[in-house]
Amino acid sequence: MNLNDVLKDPPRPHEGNVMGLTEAALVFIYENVTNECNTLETGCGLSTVTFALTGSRHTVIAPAPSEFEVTKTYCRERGIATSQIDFIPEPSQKVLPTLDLPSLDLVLIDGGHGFPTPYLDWFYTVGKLKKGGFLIVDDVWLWSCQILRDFLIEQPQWKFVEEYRERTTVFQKLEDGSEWLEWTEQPLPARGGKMKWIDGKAVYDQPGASTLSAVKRALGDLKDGNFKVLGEKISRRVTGSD
Amino acid sequence: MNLSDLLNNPPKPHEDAQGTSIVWGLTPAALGFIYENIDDQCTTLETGCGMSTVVFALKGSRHTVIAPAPSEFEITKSYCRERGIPTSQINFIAEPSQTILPNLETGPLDLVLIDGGHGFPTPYIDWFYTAGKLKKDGFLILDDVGLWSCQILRDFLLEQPHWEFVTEHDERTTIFRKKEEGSEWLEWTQQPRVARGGKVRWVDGQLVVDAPPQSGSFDRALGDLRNGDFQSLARKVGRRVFRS
Repeated sequence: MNLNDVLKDPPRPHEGNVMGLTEAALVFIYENVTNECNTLETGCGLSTVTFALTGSRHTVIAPAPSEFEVTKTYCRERGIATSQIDFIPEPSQKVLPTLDLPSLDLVLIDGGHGFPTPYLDWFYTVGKLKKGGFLIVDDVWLWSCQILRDFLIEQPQWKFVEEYRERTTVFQKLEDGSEWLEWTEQPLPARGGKMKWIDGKAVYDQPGASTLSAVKRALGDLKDGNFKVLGEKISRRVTGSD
Repeated sequence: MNLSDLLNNPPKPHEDAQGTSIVWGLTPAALGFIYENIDDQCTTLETGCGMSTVVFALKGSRHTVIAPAPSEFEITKSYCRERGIPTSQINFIAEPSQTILPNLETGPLDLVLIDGGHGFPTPYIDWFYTAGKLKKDGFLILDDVGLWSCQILRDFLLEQPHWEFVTEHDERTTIFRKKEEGSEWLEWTQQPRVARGGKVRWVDGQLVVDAPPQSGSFDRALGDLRNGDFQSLARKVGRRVFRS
């Protein structure tokens, strides 16, 4: 059985419905995970079966034993092994802070979408994600998940890989430690509020002052030939996210 | 010693970029709120350490203070000792709140002050693992809501019916009162700020997709152009350009 077979006849663990990742994201997992990998997901569904197909040593966390049973039955009836999967039927917020995990090759965040669950899932797993490992955040079209996506897009420890249907975003971890940084070392928090961190100083927004200082900084970037940074700043202004 | 004495001669447990001892404290109004609403019958908790810690000490509450900075604790303890302010009722925990809070045993809390780490997502972790311990009608104080990370939590709570906005000082420190249990465990469909804020929303019990994705990025770009949605178009172009 392969991913195409699963997509044609998916499991329905969510009260008879399929709630799954985008097909492209499932393909990404299928193509990038092997039975040598360690993987973890919050939430349960089509992705769980995809991880089972790859044979990775997988941890799946969701406070829904019935979803696990449907998934296990689906796999058993089709001869897909699940003995390498650790099913944890608890809320991720309770389990993750003290869960003993191996180094992970891929983390999928697709469990609770209420505030602030995706951030907790991220915080308590990324320390275990290897450098070069993948993080998949699903449902970034929801406000809560979008915040995590927007934060990571600007964080230099993470590389944006792909986004599928404006819904599922894939990142690659480049460096350790981003979850422990203070706001002054996090580009979006440092520039996103009324209080900003600019050139090593806390700056409070005042009418007119921020525009003037932005022009000064842009001229400095131009003079230094720092076109990429300048382009990013202009893009932020244009998109209204500054 | 009272609050005025403290404000006139505060402890200086923090250091600026040059290594000079300074104090980062709550606004005087927020310190006044704690001073007036807490007594020695209360149980309280704060993340971060500073002038607020001395105010909790002055009021004699059974207090837990969490900050990964033993030197700040020593300065605060010395300050109190030199002025005869007892600190024996304070549990100083010199660890990151993210490590300690998920399994910390405290009694029901009358007040929680979130003023520790301000990096993403620390304030949310502090809130999540203390909100359930806060009594109904207990107070939650968020400092530095002018920062993006704290502002998000403030904006979320402002719309959440389980929390009542009490006041905000200097657009910086916001005080809420807890009205109902359980808001931290709700799914997004039961959280007004989340339910209305994204491209996918929850309206009248139904999922509403703002702009269904079309077949390809070029088609979507054309759609944005046709609809005059230049902001969305610019954002997508920006992402494409800087992805490389």
